Amino acid sequence: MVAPGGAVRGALRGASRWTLVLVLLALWELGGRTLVTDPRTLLFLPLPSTIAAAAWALARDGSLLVDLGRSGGRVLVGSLAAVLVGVPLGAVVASWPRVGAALDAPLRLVRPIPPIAWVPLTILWFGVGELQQVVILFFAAAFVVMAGTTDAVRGVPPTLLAAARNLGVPERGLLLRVSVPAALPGVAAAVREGVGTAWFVLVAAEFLSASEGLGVLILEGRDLLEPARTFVGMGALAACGAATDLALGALQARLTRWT
Amino acid sequence: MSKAVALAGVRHAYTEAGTGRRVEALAGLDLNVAAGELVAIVGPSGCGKTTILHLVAGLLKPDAGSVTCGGAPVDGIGTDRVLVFQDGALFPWLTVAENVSFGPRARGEGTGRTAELLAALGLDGAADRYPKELSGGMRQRVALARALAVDPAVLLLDEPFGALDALSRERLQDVLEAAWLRDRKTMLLVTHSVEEAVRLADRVIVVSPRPAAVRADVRVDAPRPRDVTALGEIRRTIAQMVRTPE
Ligand SMILES: Nc1ncnc2c1ncn2[C@@H]1O[C@H](COP(=O)(O)OP(=O)(O)O)[C@@H](O)[C@H]1O
Ligand SMILES: [Mg+2]
Repeated sequence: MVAPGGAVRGALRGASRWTLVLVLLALWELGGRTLVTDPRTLLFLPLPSTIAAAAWALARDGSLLVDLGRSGGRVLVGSLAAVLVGVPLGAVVASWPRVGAALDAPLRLVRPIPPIAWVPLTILWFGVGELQQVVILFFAAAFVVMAGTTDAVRGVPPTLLAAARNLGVPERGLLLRVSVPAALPGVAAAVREGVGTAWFVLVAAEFLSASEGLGVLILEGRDLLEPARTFVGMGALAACGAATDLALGALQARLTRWT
Repeated sequence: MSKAVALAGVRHAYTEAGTGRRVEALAGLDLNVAAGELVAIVGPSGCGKTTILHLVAGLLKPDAGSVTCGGAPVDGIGTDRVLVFQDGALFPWLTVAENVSFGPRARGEGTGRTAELLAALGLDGAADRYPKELSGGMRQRVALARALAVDPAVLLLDEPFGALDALSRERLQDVLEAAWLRDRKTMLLVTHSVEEAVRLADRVIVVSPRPAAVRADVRVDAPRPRDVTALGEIRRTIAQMVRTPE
């Protein structure tokens, strides 16, 4: 039961989270206006109002939306592929010790390679384009999702499996009745972390071989000597990353209400 | 009376994970439990009590000797012998009612006697709660109800109330006794509380330190419900046997 006023209090608490952010932005704006006199400083370190104006301009001519769409689409497709491959692979590695043992050495060797190191090869293999971009994000996220899934499935308490068998679940029924729900919280956390990683790797991948996207917008700030664009790109990235994480967090909480 | 559970010359050794050393838990154990009997097993910790229950449950296989249930050799896990774990081993993603109906549903029998068991074990008000929202005592009630829901011939209880405070422990003992009086199921109760054993059991089996062997088989004839303060003599005798290392 939500007590009367509970919703209001919840909203206030949600808003108060962002208070410090707003205060810092206000200080930045005021400080810049009162203390900085050299216009070149304001060019290289633009005020929030300048950045907001640049964002508005980019939004109006539609290019911000295009960049957002491109980047968001890449993260979405890359993460989705990472989940589709990483979750089953992680589950197999955890459930079949022999597969896990066989894959251990190759994974140990491949994992430390930063996803960005795959850029040259993926360009040679797939050409410059969406596929190449997505493959980089997929690599980055898939390892995270797979490792988290492996841990989650390995962590399924043996007593729960024994209890389920004792209560009449046949061997083939254990996966759906016990392993999947028991591992779900860990897998959900791994997926969330994987998507976060995809956002993290996105910019570097776009720097190296994309013509549209938030990474490109961030680079343009330098190329066009308009650092406000760079700030818009960084701000958009921050907002997207945070929004995705909040949404996935809410979904995770819904799916695993029992934890 | 017919033998519900019989162990004859049962040996079991574990291989220690790190060292490969053999740890002999049972070295020729004999134990008989009649149908409908409530037998308690007491003994020092680490002596092999859990091993006995796991052998009867079919979670383990004996290295030698025979384990039979209702006259038939035990071959793996079965719903005719259900184990109640010390921590309850409840499924955290299921509500109380879903935990209790887990067995019947797994066998495609709907929810079975779930409603009746929830009422009998005082779980009515908690049917829709998740295990993490329950007290330790409530959790063990659920574990008990979940085991009873598959209507096993033999109920195996491994220190089911060991982690509870004294008050919940006594209440749960009442609940267990009531369940036993109602269904007269064969029960094998491992406990480290001599008081609990004397209060609940028809017979108390005292086992020796590892490897476990039956050191004494004490019949408790007092009428139920029992007043343990009146059973001081028998309690002291048993406690003495559990403590002395022979
Ligand atoms: N999986 C195992 N591997 C090695 N040793 C074990 C294992 N399980 C139990 N043991 C040992 O076997 C002995 C008996 O264990 P157990 O039956 O659990 O005792 P109890 O329930 O009476 O405390 C103990 O000494 C314990 O350390
Ligand atoms: Mg034990």
